[in-house]
Amino acid sequence: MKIPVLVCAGILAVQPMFAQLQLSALDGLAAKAKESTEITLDAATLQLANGFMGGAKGKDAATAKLLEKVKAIVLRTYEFSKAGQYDPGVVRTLRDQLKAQGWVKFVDLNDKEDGETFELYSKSEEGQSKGFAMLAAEAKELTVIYIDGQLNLSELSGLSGQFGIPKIPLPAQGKAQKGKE
Amino acid sequence: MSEDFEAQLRGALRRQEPSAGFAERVIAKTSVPKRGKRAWVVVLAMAAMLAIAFLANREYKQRRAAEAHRQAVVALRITAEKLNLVRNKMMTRQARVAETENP
Repeated sequence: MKIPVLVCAGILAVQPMFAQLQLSALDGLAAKAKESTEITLDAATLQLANGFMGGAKGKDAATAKLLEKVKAIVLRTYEFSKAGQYDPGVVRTLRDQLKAQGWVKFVDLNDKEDGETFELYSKSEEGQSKGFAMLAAEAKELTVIYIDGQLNLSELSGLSGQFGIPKIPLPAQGKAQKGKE
Repeated sequence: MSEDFEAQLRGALRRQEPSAGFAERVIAKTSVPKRGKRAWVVVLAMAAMLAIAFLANREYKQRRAAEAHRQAVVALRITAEKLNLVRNKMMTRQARVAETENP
């Protein structure tokens, strides 16, 4: 009787704060995709990466600061040459998993014209953000992002100019620039 | 003839005492220095192997850390890209709604 109890206690002890997404629904998509990126970084690997950036300055220091409280990163992105090359049911499966794990959707953006869906989820405990997830289903692209731990989204968004991505002007700014031209 | 041969054989096989210090000279020339050299070779080889293993492990860890860092930056870059895309779409939609409400 004692052994099963000990085994259960052991299993609970090594469980992450909340279970990760089961990504088996995405199996085989990389083979169909024109381009794909699959990244899985656990706590130990992130610690290693942060150690590598020890004493970094500039954007590396900002990256290190961002990653300080992140425990795991799972990212899958698939870019297809044609629309309709992935099953939209995949998104439903992942959405159901997030709901079952208590994630709260805070952005739900549907663009029926372009056939795009962007869903942002967060998980909080005792009023503190403990995770971020994104399901981005575009006509030719599918992206799943799952970040366990605290990630400052405004800081991340602010860093976009430093990650080699041109800053996207907000519509109001765009208008102002056009007006000036 | 046979007696002469026997005498020769006896003479040849007669016990003779070694010269003084023979045993020490034999020991000095054979076992002790060779064993010492071998031990040093073994110690040096082990030290070299340990040094190589340490350096290889450090190199492996540095490569893993560099790769993890690269992957983390790629993940953050894609996340930031997608967040900005969502923000842009939301702002466009808000601007469109505002234009419709206040033409």
